[in-house]
Amino acid sequence: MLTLKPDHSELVVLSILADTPSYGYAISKAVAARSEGHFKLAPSNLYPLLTRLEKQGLVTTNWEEVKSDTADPDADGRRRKWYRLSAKGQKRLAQHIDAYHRARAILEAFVTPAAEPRA
Amino acid sequence: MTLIRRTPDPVRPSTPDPVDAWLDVLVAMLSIPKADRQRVRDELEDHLRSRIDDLLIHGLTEPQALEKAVAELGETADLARQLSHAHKPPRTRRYAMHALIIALTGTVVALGVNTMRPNAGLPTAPGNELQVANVKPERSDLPPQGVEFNDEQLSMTALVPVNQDSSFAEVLQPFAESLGLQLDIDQISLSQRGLTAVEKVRFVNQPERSLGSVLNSITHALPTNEWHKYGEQDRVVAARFGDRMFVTTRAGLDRRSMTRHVYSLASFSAFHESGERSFQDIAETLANHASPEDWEQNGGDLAVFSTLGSSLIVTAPIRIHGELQSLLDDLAAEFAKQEAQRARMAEEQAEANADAHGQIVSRIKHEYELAVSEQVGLVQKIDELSGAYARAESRLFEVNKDEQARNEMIQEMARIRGEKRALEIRLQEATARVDYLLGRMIEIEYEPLVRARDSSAARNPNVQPGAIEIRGEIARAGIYDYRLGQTLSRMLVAAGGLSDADSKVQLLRGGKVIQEWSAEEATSGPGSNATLLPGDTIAIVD
Repeated sequence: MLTLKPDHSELVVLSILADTPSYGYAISKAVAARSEGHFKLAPSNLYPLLTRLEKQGLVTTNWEEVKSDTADPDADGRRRKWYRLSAKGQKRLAQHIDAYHRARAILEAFVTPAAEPRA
Repeated sequence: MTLIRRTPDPVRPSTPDPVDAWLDVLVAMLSIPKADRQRVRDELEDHLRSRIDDLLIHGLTEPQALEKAVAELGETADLARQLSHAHKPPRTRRYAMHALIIALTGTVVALGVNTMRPNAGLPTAPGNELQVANVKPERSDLPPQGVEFNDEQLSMTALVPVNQDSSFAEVLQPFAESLGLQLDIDQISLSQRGLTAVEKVRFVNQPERSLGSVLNSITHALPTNEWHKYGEQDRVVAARFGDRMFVTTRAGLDRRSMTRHVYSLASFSAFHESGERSFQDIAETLANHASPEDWEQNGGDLAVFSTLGSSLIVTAPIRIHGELQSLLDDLAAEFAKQEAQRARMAEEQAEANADAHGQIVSRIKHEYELAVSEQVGLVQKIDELSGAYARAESRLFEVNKDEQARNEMIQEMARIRGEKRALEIRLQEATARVDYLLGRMIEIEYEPLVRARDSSAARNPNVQPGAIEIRGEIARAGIYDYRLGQTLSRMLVAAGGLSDADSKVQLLRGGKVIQEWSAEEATSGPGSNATLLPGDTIAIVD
């Protein structure tokens, strides 16, 4: 299991929100599912990150009242915070993807064996 | 979706919800504007409760689910610090946020409206038109896909022709219609039993019949020799598939309702880990209590299972899935009951221990106070003797010329010296006693926290052999804020450990090491801010 680095986390979360609006717990599950369990975004990284994304205007938020599946149906609900990618967030995601492709292209030169290896 | 709550409940329950208790601790640690605290709390509450719901679905008990969900959030103090940091206003200007309304995803279940036909009141019109007399179940009460109709559906009644032969398809038709379903007769299965849908079934003397009794009559209309060939288990049944009322034999229904399902055996992990039973054994045991004769492993041809780690993969008719699920539900309830009993006994034991422990503490304290007062008394006496010796010494100069007085004085001084030396030896003993009792008091105070080196490795496989284990269970009052710093050093004294500056101090939660500090970090560094939860373990690894 890999722990995501901060800049990767931002790409991953923005990418998930680009598909569909989501909330914290669903995002953490989506990260695990999309990476087939290879990436783990711990709550202690995810929620501060979401806060920063919100502060930077990369996502917009709103609240929904929900109820637990297992709770007493008469019990009070709880509040769920939904995140949606903003236009600015889409731009940021595009920048991340661009940076990733460039980095990969550079690394490719080192990964691919040289045409004429030294004897 | 009305209710916005957050009006504080005036009557707090005596045992607070552990999630709330944890959130209280977290929120207390946040250094962010008050207005933001509630929002952070709400969001993390949603996370925790969603996670706990998921874990419960995966077969964990409620305390296990809670523990795991909280453990996944990491160190409370770290989380609070990171959240607080993220809330610091950015250097750039704040962007105006506008809330978007997100369409809620949800399925609207359209409930079919069941039209009840009026009771005709009179039996058997000459035209043989069949009418439903009394429809009890609502459309929404239909059983799940592939499951046999329940007693309520089977007891719905319709008028059937008396003393007149009808094909059983004709007789069943009104029942299907009244449930809003299309009649679907499994010709193949029934014809294997020697019955065709056009076959006449004779109903005698009872114009109003229930669906159950009609199915029974059809069962009995099967040619007797055919019937015996397939055993008495088989009978004609009705089940729902989509919007069809499927009439077949029980064996036919089993074939039609084959499904695959993956069950979690996680709640049996204890048996597996103790080496008592493998997951394969557990799966076999389960199969032996849910239609055992149908499993391939037992020579049957309907159901088959495989285990993969703690997952149980079962391909079987829905009927057997139902039996398996109800068996698993019963076991889960039983495990929960046993777990609750164990917890209750552990609590009683802990209380008894605490009482015994309290008595020992007060006795040691008493001994310690006696030793201290003796020590103080001896110091005073020695002081007095020192004074007397000094006075004798100065008198010695005064009586310098008087040989006899001088000799007496020298003798007196020798006596004082001797007495003083005797008292100094007693003071040494008393001081050693005070030191020992002080050490013992620290030991006794933390005794419940300290487990012997030998047993810790056996009790907890994650604690390295030779490690000292200090358990956080001592504070039984729910989730609490435990400053390790000062007290940890005392624990270390009590445990007789940490003689080595290279020792490591580990915080274990849910059996996993989640923090590790050097001795220095644990006592005065970042470790001193750690928050312990009940069940946490502190291990000192030499």
